[in-house]
Amino acid sequence: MGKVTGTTSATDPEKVEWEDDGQILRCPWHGWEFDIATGESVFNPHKVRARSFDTAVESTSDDTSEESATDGGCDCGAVEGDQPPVDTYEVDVEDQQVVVYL
Amino acid sequence: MAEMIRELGDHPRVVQVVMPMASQHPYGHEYYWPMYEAAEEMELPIAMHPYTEGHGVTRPPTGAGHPNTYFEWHTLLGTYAMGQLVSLVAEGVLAKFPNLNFVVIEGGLSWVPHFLWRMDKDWKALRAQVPYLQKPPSEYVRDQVRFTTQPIEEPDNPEHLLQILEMMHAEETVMFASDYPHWDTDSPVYALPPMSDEMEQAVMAGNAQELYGLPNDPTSLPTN
Repeated sequence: MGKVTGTTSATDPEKVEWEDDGQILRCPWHGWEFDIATGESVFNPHKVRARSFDTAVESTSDDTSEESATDGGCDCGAVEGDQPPVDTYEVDVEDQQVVVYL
Repeated sequence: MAEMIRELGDHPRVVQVVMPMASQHPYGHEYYWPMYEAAEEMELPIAMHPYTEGHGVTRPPTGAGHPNTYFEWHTLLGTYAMGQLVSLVAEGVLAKFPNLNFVVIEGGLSWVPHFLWRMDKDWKALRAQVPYLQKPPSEYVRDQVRFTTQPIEEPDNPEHLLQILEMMHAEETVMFASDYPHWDTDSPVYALPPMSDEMEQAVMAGNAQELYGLPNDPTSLPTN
């Protein structure tokens, strides 16, 4: 994905200005600049343009509550039921050796 | 220099300002702009001719450094012109002084198409560095820079040289030069390949007449 940035503009070599910040998509391969809203290139908008797609910001469900927010822990499954979902083994100490019975 | 251009520029026998092909800075540098302003005001083209490359405060005459032979310097005459031209384009001189013309003398010309193609390609990616250019770099050169033919390149197949002349729009951009009587002089009869009558008229006379405001009848030129 290319960088979303702005670009320079000038009518005189002695006065260059930064403009369209956040509206210019710069191709990561060759650096060509495109208007992110239209796909038109900056250097030749009438001939060179990037393919554009319809985009919109929409909610993904009717319920707008934050139910999917996490508590900050890892997303590795919840512990359910009375017994933890782990295997246990008999362990004993014999002659100063830890013995695990499988 | 700017004062001198204004003082002498309207003399009837002065038709252009000539600079050596090298100086302390590339010619796009703002240091030289007062001179360009004066030349545009006096309607005089500025020509560049090899001479100073590698001398005094200038840079080595080749990109590789100081050569040991005149052979190397002469072979690479066009490369110094490339350095000056890309500077004039990139620093915005041609854009800022749209009525100012430059002339490249004694640099040959077969390098011009390659030079223009490279600038236009780079401009697509690096336009943000030169935002004052309102059109592709090659168009500034085509509109404001003229190239003289000598020392003309001589490919085995003369047709190839004609193709290069067509690539650089010679009917607008090229002027014949002989450099007579130097050792590398070109003949006005034999140096150039056969070409269309229109291109030949432009290269041998028309483009220079237009640039310098020369009359059809040479005897009407001022003699003193």
